[in-house]
Amino acid sequence: MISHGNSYGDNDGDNTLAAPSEPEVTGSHVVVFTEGGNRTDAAQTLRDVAGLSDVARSTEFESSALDLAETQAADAVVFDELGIAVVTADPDQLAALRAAEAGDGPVLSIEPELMHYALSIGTDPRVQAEVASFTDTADLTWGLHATNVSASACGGFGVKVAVLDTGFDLAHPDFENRAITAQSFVPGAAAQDGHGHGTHCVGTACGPKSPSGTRRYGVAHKADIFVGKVLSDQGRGADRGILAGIEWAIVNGCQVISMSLGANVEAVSVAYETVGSRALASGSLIVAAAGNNANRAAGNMGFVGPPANSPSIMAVAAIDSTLGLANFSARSNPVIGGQIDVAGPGVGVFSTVPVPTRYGTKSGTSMAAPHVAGIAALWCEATGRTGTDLWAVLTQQARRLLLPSLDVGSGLIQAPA
Amino acid sequence: MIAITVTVDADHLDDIEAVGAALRLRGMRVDQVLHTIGIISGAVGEDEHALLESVPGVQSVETENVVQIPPPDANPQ
Repeated sequence: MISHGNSYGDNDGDNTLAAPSEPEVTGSHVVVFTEGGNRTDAAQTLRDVAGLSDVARSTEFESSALDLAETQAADAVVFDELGIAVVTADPDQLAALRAAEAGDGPVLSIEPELMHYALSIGTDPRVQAEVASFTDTADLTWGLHATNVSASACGGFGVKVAVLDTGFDLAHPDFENRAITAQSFVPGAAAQDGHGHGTHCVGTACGPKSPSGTRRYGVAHKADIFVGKVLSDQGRGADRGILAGIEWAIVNGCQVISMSLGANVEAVSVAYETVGSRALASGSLIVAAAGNNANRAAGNMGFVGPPANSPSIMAVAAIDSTLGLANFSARSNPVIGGQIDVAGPGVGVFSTVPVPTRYGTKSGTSMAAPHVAGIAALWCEATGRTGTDLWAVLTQQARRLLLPSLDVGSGLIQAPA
Repeated sequence: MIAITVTVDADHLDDIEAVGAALRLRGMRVDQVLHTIGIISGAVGEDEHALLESVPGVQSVETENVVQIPPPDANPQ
């Protein structure tokens, strides 16, 4: 690994570290050509635009392995495959290149060439400074703050989010005037939530932007809500109901499917993995709670069970308001797909419960998963991405944490701007 | 009877009803056929369980799991 300018830390173990310093420049410049500019011969462009005549090209060397010792005297070295050149230009030539950068011409950018150094071990204080403690305020839950949902311009407009759980309190006043499609897959039961778990998860994933009389707790406030009751009011459900709920959600075009449920089994289920993969191919991303079978304080790390241990289903761990790992949050297990993919807020999560109580605070990876599902809906709206492409943007944009990837995967899920 | 989940392979998704019919002939009670995700749920006698895996179009036969989440006031959820 290399870094710009000064290295992070000085390897003496005291964890002190210099602040970002002035970059150390070489005096040369890195020119990036536009795609058109590169196709039309970058070396010719440098001659025409800036009069740089002595140009070495990577294609002149065997296997394009450019020998820098041979090119020291050159005005410019062109890397044809990359569409990039490093140029040593006088001020007039530089000005001519900058003029070419300004228009729609062949030059995309010009930056000073920097010196790089090997990274040494140390702690970046910027990371430590950011590890703050979040708290619920009068306006906002800590989880929406920590994931930047509160600052996002998106609400999941035009996105369908399915929550497969114990159902939903369809009489909850916070969801008046929302588009809700509800279906029960529990024999003899309606979609109404007689447990509370499902109502809490729907609240986190899709609750309103400005609930009257309490703080904001929901992510995708403009999403269309699909409630699939796959667990009974006693919190119990067989695979057939869960699979029927997934089928229903895909057929209805739900881009995001949230499942805060799992079994205490290590092995991957062929059924869930196949279904997760077919769902992604259909443009539906399935997000699942990693599980709460750890007791880390007692040395038990737990493991991710099905369905979250399927490679094609996103497994969500739980972190607390200090961005520390929840004691109960399950760790990756060695089976293929048994890894944690991302983390979400899952300790002391304030959201909806059935009336008349209306609101309650719960903890669990069950609470982390709907944060990720709601945020997936925001990214779906922001980028138009679905399926595997949506998965990629979620992990790319997650905030890296000072915790093992075994426990938090790519880190804390983050909302789009 | 054991409750089972049958996953149908990608080549037989369009013929899932035929796969279901073949499973019935081998003694499976078919309770639901999910066309989009390619899953057939049902039950089978303990002795017939292994027979089902050789039915053309069957990717896997798994014993059905039951999920149980904690009661409402438990911590964690």
